[in-house]
Amino acid sequence: MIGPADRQASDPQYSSEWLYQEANHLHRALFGGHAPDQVRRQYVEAIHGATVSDSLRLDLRQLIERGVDLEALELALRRVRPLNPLTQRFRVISYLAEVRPENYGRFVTERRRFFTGWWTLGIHLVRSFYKLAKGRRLLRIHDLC
Amino acid sequence: MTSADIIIVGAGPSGAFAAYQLRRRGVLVLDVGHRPAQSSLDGNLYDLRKSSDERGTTLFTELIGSEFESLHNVFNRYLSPKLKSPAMRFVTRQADQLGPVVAENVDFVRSFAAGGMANAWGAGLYRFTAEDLAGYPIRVEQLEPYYDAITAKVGISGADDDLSRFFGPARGLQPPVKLGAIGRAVLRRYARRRARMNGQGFYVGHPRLGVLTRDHDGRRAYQYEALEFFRPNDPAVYNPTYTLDEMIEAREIRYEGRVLVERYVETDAGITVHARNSATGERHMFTCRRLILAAGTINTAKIVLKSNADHTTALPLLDTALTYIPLLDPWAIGGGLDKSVYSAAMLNAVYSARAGAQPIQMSLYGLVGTLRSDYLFDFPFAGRGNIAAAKFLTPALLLVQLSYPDNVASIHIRLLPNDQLQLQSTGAPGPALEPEVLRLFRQLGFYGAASLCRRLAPGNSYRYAGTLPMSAAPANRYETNTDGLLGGTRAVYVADAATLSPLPSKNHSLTMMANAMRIAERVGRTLA
Repeated sequence: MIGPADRQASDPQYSSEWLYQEANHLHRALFGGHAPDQVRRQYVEAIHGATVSDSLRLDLRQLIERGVDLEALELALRRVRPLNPLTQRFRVISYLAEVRPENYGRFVTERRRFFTGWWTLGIHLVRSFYKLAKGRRLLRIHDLC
Repeated sequence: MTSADIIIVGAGPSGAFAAYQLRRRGVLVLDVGHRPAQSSLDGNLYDLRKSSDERGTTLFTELIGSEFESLHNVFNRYLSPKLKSPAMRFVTRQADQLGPVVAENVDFVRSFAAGGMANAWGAGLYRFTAEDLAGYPIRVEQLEPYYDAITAKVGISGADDDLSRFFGPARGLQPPVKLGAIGRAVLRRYARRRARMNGQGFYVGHPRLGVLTRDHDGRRAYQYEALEFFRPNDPAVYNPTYTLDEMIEAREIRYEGRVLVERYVETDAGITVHARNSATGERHMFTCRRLILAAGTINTAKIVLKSNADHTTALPLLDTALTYIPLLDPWAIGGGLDKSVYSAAMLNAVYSARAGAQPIQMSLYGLVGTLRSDYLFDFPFAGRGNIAAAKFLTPALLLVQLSYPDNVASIHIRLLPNDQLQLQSTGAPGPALEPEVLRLFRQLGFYGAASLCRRLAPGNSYRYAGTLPMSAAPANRYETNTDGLLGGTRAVYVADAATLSPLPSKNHSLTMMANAMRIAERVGRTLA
């Protein structure tokens, strides 16, 4: 595990400027839109204060700069290593976004929507199979197995 | 040096009710006594989350925390959602500094807060039956008057239903808390198949909760705001500090906070209690004629081991092993949010497989009170699919918490020479009932998979007991007699769950409190 004290200020993966951008990439992968400035700042602060898993050598910055599909990669990684730095970071973004009023409707439905629910989950099931296959390929390509 | 007739160590459920029994009798309560900060959350969790947005920063501070407390489980060892939110952190504050522990294969939690772990409990309060007390040197009739007194004082909600045969008499109960849609579905389907389910030893009913459904004793009824995981001290959800504060205010007891009791010395002249200030480390001594230890199963055991300067004895620690079983009701997928329900256990089920076998209790939860990010990445989809699942599957999810009884301790506790406690788990998990539970719930239209059941590491139930068991004839200095008197002492009593052994599947909080009153009453008699 990498604790806050061990982290080199010079490590480009943990610079505030980079984490600020990283938050946006993760937010886009999870929610399909840019992260509000406040979420990005909170993300930087949260990662700086955390002990991040280094069970896997993952150069997230390089992967993002290469335009890798983070959502696919995360799903494939989560299947083989539930505790991995990419899932951890997605979870951070998810917490920070969930408590914002504009995201309330993404997480909660107040009306009964039986058919929409089944239909949406069906689509996501198919999509997740596709993402899993893609993610597994990415694991091999980037030697992350 | 401060003196008192009776000193009670600890102000959790046991300490508070021992003090309640002995109020106006010269009692001094010693306690570290962390208290929560005032919460600014007011209203229903979901209404607050929707509303925009001068409150945005406040809401972030309350739900996530200025130190990102709610993100604890992303980076650290698992902590129950009820303990990790910012306002609830006081419950476990300073626990590692005040009572360092070396743990092997055990997760554990201790509290030095006033009210102890009851600050984060689900408020389940269940009477033990004669069957539960098998193996105890006391009978259920000896506890009944105290069960009744606590029911009257606390205000317990519940119902006289199919579970009364396991939960004991329903006298004095307030009506049960209202159910959400998924709870109503469980009860409806169970009612239709009652005979068949009962024939298989499966029963469903309302829990007995220290949650007011009617105004009582100056406290208002529960408002269904779903804030249990984020806001401490809802007046409708019982907390022993309510009774403690009443007694302090009425000057019926004396209370000293920030006092960490370390050991006692008993002489012909009385008992000297050695303690230190939990903030400054300054040493203090107190004297008394009778000492009642109610610091919690683990802390009480440590005080006794340290007083005996014993670094070799390994005491047993009982703990009900927990399994979480997620179940899905396909008809409830896409259901509308039930935002006005109690977010802890809404129903109980009991599985009594065979005549003579110990009944297994289950608590049934809907996933209303926590943030969905707590379990978002437990869904099997890609990220965006998980968000859709959180939205559409959550109303259809029923979480069953299955508690296994503990008859033979698999955890042992020892005081190391450096004063740290060592907790060691040696036992293998017992027989698994999860497949049978899945089969029973399938008959009610709730589906799950054995691969999704999650048995928590030992120590995660927070229901600890049995380090200093009660015995009709104590054989050594780590057993107590039926009056709670610790072996080898003349006036040191144990009044918390340390005396309870074996531990049934049922939550033991009410029995802990009733037994503390019973022991306190005996202690009072010795001074009469």
